[in-house]
Amino acid sequence: MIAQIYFSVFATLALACALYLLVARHPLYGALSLIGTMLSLAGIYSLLSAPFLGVVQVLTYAGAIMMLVVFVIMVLNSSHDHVVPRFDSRGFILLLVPAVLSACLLYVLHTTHPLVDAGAIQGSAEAVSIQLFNTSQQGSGAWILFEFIGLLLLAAMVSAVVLAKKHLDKKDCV
Amino acid sequence: MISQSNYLWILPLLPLLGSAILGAIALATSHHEKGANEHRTGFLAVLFPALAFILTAFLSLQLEIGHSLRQVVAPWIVADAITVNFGFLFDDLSRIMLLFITGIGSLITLYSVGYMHGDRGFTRFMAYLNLFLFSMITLVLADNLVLTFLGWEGVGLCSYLLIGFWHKEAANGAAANKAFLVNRAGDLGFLLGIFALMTLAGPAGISYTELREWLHNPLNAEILAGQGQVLVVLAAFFLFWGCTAKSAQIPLLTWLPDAMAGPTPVSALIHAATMVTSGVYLVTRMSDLFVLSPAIMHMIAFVGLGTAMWAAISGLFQDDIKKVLAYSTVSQLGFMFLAAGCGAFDAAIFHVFTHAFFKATLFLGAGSVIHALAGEQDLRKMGGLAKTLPRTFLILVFGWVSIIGIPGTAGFWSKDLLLERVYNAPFMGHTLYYAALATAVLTAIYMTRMMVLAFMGKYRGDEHVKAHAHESPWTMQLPMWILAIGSLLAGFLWAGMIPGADLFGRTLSSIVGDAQRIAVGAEHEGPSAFVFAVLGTAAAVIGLLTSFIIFTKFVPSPVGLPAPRGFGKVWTFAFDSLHALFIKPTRALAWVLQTIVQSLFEALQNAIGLFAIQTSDLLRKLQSGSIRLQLGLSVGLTLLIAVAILGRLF
Amino acid sequence: MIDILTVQIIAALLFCIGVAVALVRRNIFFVLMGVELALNATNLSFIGFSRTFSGSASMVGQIVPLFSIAVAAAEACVGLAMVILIFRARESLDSESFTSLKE
Repeated sequence: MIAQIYFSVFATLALACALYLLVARHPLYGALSLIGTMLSLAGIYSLLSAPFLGVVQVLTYAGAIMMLVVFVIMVLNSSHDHVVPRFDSRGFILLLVPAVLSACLLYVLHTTHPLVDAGAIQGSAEAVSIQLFNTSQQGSGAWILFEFIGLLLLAAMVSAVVLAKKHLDKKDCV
Repeated sequence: MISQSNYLWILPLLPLLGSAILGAIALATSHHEKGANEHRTGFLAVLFPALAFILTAFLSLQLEIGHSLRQVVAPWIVADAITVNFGFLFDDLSRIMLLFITGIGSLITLYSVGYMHGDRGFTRFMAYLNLFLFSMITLVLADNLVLTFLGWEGVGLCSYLLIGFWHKEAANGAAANKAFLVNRAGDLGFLLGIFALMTLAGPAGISYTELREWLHNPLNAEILAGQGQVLVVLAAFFLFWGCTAKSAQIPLLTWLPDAMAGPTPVSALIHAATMVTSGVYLVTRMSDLFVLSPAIMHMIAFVGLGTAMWAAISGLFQDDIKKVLAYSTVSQLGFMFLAAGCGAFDAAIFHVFTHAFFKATLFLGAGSVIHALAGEQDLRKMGGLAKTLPRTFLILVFGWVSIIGIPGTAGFWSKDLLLERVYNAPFMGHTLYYAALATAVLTAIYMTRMMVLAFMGKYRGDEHVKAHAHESPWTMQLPMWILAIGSLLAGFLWAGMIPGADLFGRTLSSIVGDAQRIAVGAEHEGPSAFVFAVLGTAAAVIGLLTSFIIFTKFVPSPVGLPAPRGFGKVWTFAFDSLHALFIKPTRALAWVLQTIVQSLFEALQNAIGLFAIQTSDLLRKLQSGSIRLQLGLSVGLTLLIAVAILGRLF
Repeated sequence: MIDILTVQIIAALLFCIGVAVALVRRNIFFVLMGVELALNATNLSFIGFSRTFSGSASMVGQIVPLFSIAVAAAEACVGLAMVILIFRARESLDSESFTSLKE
């Protein structure tokens, strides 16, 4: 019962913040509303018996990624963003695409009736880690992806540093 | 007796490490104005060869005569037909070679620290020198022919790198190319020799110790007498072919005089003391094989004698001090092969040993003269330098008396031992001896000519240059003095007429003794060693006096470049003309390929490229220029495709 | 308990709003943020479906969003670096003004 109330609150908040992202004037407002969406989603994850993921969402998404986005916005975008107009004719025409997409998705969902399985494991950090790091033959093998994700993050870090660095002096070598 | 050692791998590693470190330093400082700090680089450059020498000395002292150390580090080629390992063999022969290679190598590296001072490529030079020492050590220390070939090629490469060291002048590059290509022509012979040996003896054909056993095995005697005889002759011929290129014998000797384009330490180390003696080393190492084919032995002797005479005559026409010494090297190498061809392998190695000392002394001394005269190499522009550069003069005198064979010097002992053995050779020994004696007279003539023109008489060059003439720094003097004293005293390791002083000969007997017995036959009585000594000294003195009288009177005046002219040109460049006969068809073929075939391929490639450009120009017009539109179209069309495939909505 | 269908509908709507933001807005920051929103929506969808499986398969719905978050982090990092580069070159954040691919 109380879970339903919480769920409705979080769901409404998420959708409202997402809609505000569509019409926000300044990217910083947009970033803040995106953070709001993410935090509500984190709450929904916890209600759906995935508390570990809820915490990870808050820490990583809302905490690190959005912080990075906000930082770059503040560095690059001037305080009064009158330069980039919000909507134009092309934008309205392009609105058709997500409209059709939502129609298709809703129709497909309408015809399915997903049910909760009784044997589903109650989510927690321990349960996730048991499944994630199961290195036996019968396991899902997701631990290898875990290692690759580490390499991916390293590559992203290095490339971001190299890309955004100031130009080195160009003296001829050898 | 062979025993296992665990330290042999360090010997080639040390200069290789030095080369890698110095190469890294050279690369890291490549974009600086000046190079790396010369003191530190020079210290490193001398350190590694010096350490190799200390290790060699240590191992040598421990090794008893007749013993050898063996170490197989790792397998290299493992196949059905053949197995080759990275193996090292430290026996009496390699001990001697290694001692003077590492010793003289360290001294000449020290000399180069002084000689190459101020050169922008100092570090690069030191890296190349260390690489050369690594290759040479590998060549001599290897226990099988294939690893020796690796070192053989390595010294060829380093020779190329070092001759063309001052690469900004095209002539140096051309000389380096010539050296490399002529050596390559010889390497073909080496490879064919390896193949012939493998056909003859299977896997035992390439490992030295196993080949010796195979050849001495009575079970193989029928093969050797029958069908194996052809293979033996072929293998010996091909291997000798390889040696003619590396040791500059007829017909592949044209590269050595041109190689004087490199810096003088290079000429001293590579083209006097070490690399060119690898041919003699190989012949001695494979002595068991060579003595089985008397025809090839005779060929070696005649080629050696011919080369010695030819180079001696050419040396008379040279006006560049380094070219005189280059032809002198070729001539002395001819003597060594003459000895080897007559079955006196240990005398040949002894001459290698003493030659390393006195030739290095002569070259380093010449380098000191060139350094003092700020790059002047033309003998016609020198003269009277005995008073200006007394210490250099004294050093060159030591080298000079040694090479012409004044009694007591190293050159005297080795040359006279060599000539005595030649006289006692079973096939045409007497004829060979008299011809070699005449060549010794010629040697004395042209070497004295060089000394007279450079140091006696009046100075014929630029006064300005003479005013600035100065003796070399201690880094150059110290190695020269050590080598000069060596060229006087090294001969006493095998002073034939002094009883008991034959350490050298006894050392080598385990390696070449059997071969020599087969080649020479039983000991027979001939004139005593004293007679040979007298004849040799007489040859030297006659040549000395003749040359002295002639060249103090007829002093050449500088006209044009110091290259030989007229009749001298015909003599000196004879083999270049011979090679040109082979080069011309190759050039014609290259021209055909260049103009016709290459142009065709280029046209084809350009056509493909043109097609790609046209197509992409067409496609470029499809770009809309708006990111949003592209994104929207991507998402929309993907949606359309998904819907069409799933098909349930229609 | 919470109805799974409702969760999926919310996920679908969020996804479409995210795509709309990415396509409609001209400021490139909004494009990036729209993509992030869409990624979040797919994570929600995964977690919503995770309870319809039994046993260990139900955890897959929680592991995949974990990786998705990590990949989104990497992508945001590199994407923002490129935004900085583009801004340095063109001094503009308007995606309509990046037309140099068209001649």
